[in-house]
Amino acid sequence: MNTNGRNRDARGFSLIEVLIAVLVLAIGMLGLGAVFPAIISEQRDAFAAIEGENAAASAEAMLRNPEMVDFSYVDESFNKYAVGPDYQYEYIWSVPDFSSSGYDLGSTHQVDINPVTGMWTYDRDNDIFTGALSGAEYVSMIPLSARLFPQPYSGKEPKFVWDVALRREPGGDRLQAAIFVRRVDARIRVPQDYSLSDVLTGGNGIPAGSIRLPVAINGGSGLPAADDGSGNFFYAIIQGLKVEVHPERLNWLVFSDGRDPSVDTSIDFATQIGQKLVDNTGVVRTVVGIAEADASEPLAGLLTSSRVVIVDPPFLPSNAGGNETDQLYPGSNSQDTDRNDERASWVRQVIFTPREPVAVRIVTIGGES
Amino acid sequence: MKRPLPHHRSRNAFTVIEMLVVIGILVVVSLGVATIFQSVGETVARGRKLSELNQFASRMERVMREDFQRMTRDGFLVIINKNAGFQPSSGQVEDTLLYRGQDTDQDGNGVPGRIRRSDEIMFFARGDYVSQRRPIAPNMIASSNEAAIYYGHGQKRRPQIAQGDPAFDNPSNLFFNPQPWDNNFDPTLDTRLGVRTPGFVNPNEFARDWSLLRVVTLLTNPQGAGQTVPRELFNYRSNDLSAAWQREALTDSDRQIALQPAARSIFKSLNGSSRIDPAVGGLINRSVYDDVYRGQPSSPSDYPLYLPTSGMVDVVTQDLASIRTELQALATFQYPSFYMDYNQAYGNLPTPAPPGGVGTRDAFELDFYSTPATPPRPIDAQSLDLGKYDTSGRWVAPNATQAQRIRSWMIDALPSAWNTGANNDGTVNPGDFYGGVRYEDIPTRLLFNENDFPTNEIGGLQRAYAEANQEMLGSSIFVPRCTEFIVEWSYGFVDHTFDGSPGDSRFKKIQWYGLPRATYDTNGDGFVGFNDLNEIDVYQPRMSSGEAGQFPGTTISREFGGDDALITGRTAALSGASNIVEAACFGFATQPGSTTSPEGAEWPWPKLVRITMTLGDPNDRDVEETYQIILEIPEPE
Repeated sequence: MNTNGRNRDARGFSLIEVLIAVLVLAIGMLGLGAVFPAIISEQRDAFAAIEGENAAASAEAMLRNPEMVDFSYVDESFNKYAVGPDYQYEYIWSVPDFSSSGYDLGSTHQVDINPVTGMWTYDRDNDIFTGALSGAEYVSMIPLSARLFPQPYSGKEPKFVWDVALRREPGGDRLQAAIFVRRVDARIRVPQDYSLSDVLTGGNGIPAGSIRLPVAINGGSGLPAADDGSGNFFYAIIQGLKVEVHPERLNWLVFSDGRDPSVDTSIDFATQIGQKLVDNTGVVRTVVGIAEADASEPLAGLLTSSRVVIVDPPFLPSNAGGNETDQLYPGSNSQDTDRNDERASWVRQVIFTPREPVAVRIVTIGGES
Repeated sequence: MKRPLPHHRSRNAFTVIEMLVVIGILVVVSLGVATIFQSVGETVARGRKLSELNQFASRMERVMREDFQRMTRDGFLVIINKNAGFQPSSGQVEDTLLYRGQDTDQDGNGVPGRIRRSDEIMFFARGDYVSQRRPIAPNMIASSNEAAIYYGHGQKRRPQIAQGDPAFDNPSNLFFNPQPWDNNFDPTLDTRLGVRTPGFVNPNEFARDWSLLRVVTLLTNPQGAGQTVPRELFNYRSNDLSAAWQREALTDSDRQIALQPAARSIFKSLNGSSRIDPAVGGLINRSVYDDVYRGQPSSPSDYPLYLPTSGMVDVVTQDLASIRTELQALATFQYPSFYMDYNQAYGNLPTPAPPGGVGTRDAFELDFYSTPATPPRPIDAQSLDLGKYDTSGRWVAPNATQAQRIRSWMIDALPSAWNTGANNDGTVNPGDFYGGVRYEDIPTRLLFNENDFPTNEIGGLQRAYAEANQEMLGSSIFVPRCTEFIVEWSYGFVDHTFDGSPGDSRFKKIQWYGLPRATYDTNGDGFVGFNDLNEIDVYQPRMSSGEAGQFPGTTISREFGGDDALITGRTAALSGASNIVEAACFGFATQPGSTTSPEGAEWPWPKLVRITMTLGDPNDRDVEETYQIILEIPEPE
């Protein structure tokens, strides 16, 4: 037998070839396997969206209950730069602003979420409940334990937490609320013999060291993270940023100071794909992409000086104030701005939560007009 | 001849090394494939579970929210908190199993299963509502813009097949031949939820077999003269001047709307009578009665009560205004009589002495119903005393008996079967519940044979009604595999005890009312159940103003000027917390308007309702998923 000849005519695979084949196969199968967790996660998101809407509707019922929070004490100066008849309503959402030159709503009452306890109040400067009203501050507060849904100790452990931004509704000047519903961080650990309700509310005599925030920001990195009880975590509040819209591209949302190195991580939160942004026209918009353009196009310069995302639904021509939007930012000179002119519909602010919410609902809750 | 083998230099064969490599690759590949298959299987199973639960959850939320938004305070609101599993043999509520053979002890009492809530809620709403029943004649459809909406567990009937019994054709076999007068209760074949029935199968014994129903009962008045009816339907000719009763049979009456059977009162105890005016119209008319019902019940002189409990009747010939007048008059009159008892309903009627010289229940009914010229009037309620403000603005407590009666009548209006007159104090016990509204997963008689009905026109009539009845059996199923349904209500009050300390986890905690419901494992036995005494989550409404309240810092009476004796009735526990039944009723202003009497007060209504329900997983019998919805009760219009 001529083994040499046989080897030439019908050579087997070499070990290297076989190894490569196995490697290719393995990579292929790993890729295939990765599809399924993605599908599961999509399904879970779809489910959370439905449950989140339910949570938002339930939160609305809570907000309309004056025993929970009594908005009738919100006085006439809310949403103005300063107290006085010369000043007009700004109609922007009362949330902490993280722009490089952020909104200044002056010293008038603002909404505040305590970063340690999660306590919500519409009287941040603590000057409504003085004199005869002294001691009644609690009517302005919604504690974190009341913003969990399903409610703690109700037979179903909390899955969501909701937060509220407030402003005056353009037109009627009634109070308008944006309710953000987020999922309670799934990585929160529950100690033995206690429940998630205990961990989130501090009830049932749970040691203080075991209490956790449902949604948190790492105080060191500024990024969303699960509260591990180390104390360096803050409640992930609703944030605001200045924006502008240009008439040439009505699906572009421009963060004009987005390249400013002093602007913190907020801009990263706001520009995530899938993020839900509520603008000062009261519309919820979803970030669907990052803007791209040829250098020859008129707005291409914005892409280098600012950060620009594509949103859905797109804006209306009346929302686009372009470069002049800046004139409408509240400040010491804003008292002479006529808010009833056409510029009132310019989009100039978006609010959002660090992690994208599962549901956002805009409701009008009455109050002083 | 043998074909010569081609000449070859050598025979190829695999070496051991080659074989080992191939086997190695095969092992790797098959391991990978197995992993992927497993992953696919899990994905499909999880996806199916999620999408099914998803479907129910979103449907539940949407429909309930819409119903609640349409709620009107021109009607009343009844919430019953009770536990399923009341065993007539022991007189106690006992643990219910999730499925046959479940051996997990879910509450640590040494017995498998756990106590499960089966609450009920009914209110009135305005909207566009159409009868679920199939139209008998084209263009004749019962519809209304007022309806009573009820959510509660339904109750399947037990198949009654006796040996040699031609059950299918026996009209008295209510399993195969459902009828609108069926009260869905038979003490010898008890099929109430969770009841263990030695000797026969109870289709509602296990929680995974329960379904939550949404029963919409239309409130509509009969159309008067001039109603458009078919010229001829079955053997009745509406244009036959020589037989006016033939036209009568097709027109609306207080027992018939658009040819559909209708209850004449939302209050079940006022549905039956031995003395219906012989001139009563519709197919219940004495002349045609036998044609429709094949001689059932036994004597043609027994006019049936049409009962919503049958699941067949979704129309009541009353509107919201007449329900209100009737309820206020009834409060001054008597407790509901037990309509389930045919002898009592048709024969030995109680003879109390009501105001206004009406001597018997029959006479009362005559006054209320049989004289169309004098429908219930506000004056019938002139002696109603449900509390008011006196001239100096102080609250005057109601006539306690009237408050209790009005509560009893409100419970009597539920489509489920309650003996509300049993205690005569506005409370109900677990044993006073006689059953839920009937439903079936599939019609009990899918097809009728050619010879099931007479071949004449009467056969056509009977067939039309029998088929419509079968269709009604499944028409109200809202959520299948609903293993628990809990309704709690709140005035929206928060616990004022904790106003001063915002750091306390109970600060601004909404006070919910309902049955005690342990939420912690306080006794450390590893289970959460009735053995755990912590009731921090649910507050107990007070039975009357005099009792020590659990309403720190405020009282219902102070806030509303009402009286909580009107609102809640909780039976004393027979023994053990699980035997408590709580009925919370919310109604109209406490005093009918009058120019001379001091002002009445608005009956305090809850602001929020919290619904917590548990669904069994369609694919895994041990898995349950709980959902919660908080619904707002609309402000009065």
